[in-house]
Amino acid sequence: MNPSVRAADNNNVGRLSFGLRLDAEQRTFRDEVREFLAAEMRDAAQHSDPTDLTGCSIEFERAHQLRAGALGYLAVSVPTEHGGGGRPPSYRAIYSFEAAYHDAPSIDTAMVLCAAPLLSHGTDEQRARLLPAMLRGEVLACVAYTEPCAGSDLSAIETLAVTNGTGYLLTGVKSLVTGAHKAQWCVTIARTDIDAETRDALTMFLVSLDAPGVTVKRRVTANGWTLSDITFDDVAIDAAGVLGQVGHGWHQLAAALVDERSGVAWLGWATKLIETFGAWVTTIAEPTLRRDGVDAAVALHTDLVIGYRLAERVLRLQDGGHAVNAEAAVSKVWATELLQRLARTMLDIVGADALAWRPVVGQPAVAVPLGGRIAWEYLERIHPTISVGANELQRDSIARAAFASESPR
Amino acid sequence: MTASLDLRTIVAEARAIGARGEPTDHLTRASCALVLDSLDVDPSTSFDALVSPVLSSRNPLDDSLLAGASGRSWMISGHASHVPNALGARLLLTVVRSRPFAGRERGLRVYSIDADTPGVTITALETIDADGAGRITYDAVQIGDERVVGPSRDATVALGAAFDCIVLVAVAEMLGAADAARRSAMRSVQSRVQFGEPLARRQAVAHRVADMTIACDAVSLMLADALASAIDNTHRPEPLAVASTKLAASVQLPLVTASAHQLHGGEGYYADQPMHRWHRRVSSLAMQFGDRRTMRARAAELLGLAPVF
Repeated sequence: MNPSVRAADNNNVGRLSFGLRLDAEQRTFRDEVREFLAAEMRDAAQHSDPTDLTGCSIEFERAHQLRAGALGYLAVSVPTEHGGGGRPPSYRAIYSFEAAYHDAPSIDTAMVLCAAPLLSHGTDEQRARLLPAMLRGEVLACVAYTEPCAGSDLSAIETLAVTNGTGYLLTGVKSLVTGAHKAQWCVTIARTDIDAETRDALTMFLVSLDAPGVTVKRRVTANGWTLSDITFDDVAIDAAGVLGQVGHGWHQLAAALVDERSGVAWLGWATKLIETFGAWVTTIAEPTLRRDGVDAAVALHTDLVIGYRLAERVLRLQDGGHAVNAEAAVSKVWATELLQRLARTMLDIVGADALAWRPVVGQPAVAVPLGGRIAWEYLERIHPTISVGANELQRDSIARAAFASESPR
Repeated sequence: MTASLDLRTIVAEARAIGARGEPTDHLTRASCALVLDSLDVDPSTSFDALVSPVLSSRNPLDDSLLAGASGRSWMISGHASHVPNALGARLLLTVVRSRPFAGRERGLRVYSIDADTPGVTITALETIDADGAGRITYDAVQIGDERVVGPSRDATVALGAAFDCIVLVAVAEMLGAADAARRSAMRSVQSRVQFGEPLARRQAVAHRVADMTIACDAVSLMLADALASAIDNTHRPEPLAVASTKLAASVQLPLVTASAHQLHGGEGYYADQPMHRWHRRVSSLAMQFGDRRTMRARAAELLGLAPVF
């Protein structure tokens, strides 16, 4: 909004208005990341690819991730014994926030998507085979958990992994997979025991996407980029492809998902948009509309600051090595619904001009407030309230924790 | 600032009082102490009410109460439309604009005025709150120079920080009340069986509880952050953090107490049940010490979005 507010933030004068509360060391890291990402994205408009979630061409994404990997950003919070930077989880969050703020294609990296289960449950051999290339940014990976009839409810999973003596044969269909068309391999989950309860029936696997029997089919989403369906047709997986313990997939996956919910990338996008929208409303000439615009921007800013405080609580707990559950759910619900509110509000204040749509990376639409970003946001922010555990499930878990803290007299 | 005033303790007390659902004179006492403290006056000096149109409207140029010098005395005229704890008050700590055109950084003075001084009238107000509020008018009230509280220098800047602290105390009381209403509703829906199961098992009910919990969490974390900024800086909180916190509380918490009413059902609407007291108190404090519109305007100004006052 006001350039001086941002300047105060950069210079660490007083406490911050925009962004998470950070200590001096974290701010140094953030400033370094900001400089890197601003330089990385300077010419990104020339590498636009609206059919990819990142908005960028695969070549640009790969080259960018290699540079980010070389600087240690992709694995900043991975323990040093695994080749990472050994910083607390908040550093990874700071990187995600800034990557989102800059629309850089290093949010859904192989590390972000797959490192947690690999680090927690992988064998030494699996880590040695996969991690080095992941943290250098050399590979793209994806997670294929969801099925057409099994989203948040894992008990409905139908993909089967049948033992064939030395390994498994995998059969089934996975849907809504992010980045499968460009990934080298995926982490997936399948039923290995058809009689057991779901909690003991699932197993996680590492599957190479060029293995015989794997078919990736791209499907265009409501906002023009693609997700993929992956079909496994008797795909042979040897014992080295089992991730973690057989029958423990349910527990492993639950832990991996909590990791994605601190909401920090969502807040990075919201921050950039509210800054930009706030600057635009001050240019409105008509006094009544300007007043409406300023009021709306302030209300959104307040909700953004709430988002910061909720995410900081998650990061404090994570940095302290504590378990996070309902706190992450609160943060996820708030940040994802803020993005929807933000898009609706911008549309409301800007009016029909805001219907002009442009891809997230590329040349902005001319003579349109925010250059076509509002329409893109309006369609884009439908999905975060559904993915990574639908907000209905998050509210279930928030209510469960609340009820547990206040049982009847 | 004196060492005797512990803002953290005051805020914790305010939360506990909010949870009890009966307004006491705590907020008034704390407000007076914070004003006195900001003027380097012993904060334990006892006043019954804080009269300050500038504080209630949060408009630094509010001139509904004006003081003019006449020789070695002062003449005060105007009114304060909503003064908590005014009924039965004997000694009024009164914040008055003494220089109407001095701008926002100057012009406020503080006086100690007896309620029975000729020209002072206190009229009871019937509001949704039970905070003993009254309207106070000053009709050419004459007082001596010795009634000026604190050093004779201008009090405006010092008062700004004190007012911000008072806002945080008010938010703490709102949060205490809203959280108590939320907890009461959670106990009720867990124990009340309808259609063969506790109401809490119904997802619509559980999700309403989740939203109430999110709102209370949000305000609690905002308050903690703004309070930390005050503690770190000798009771001068970050102004934007105060405005955002009051705005968040005034938007979110009345929805929490309204939801608590809904989850309690018809029984909770009886006045012998506590629900309405929490709802009244939260809704009343949402409009005091800077209502939603005023706090939006203040935040807009602090964010550089608009000149407001």
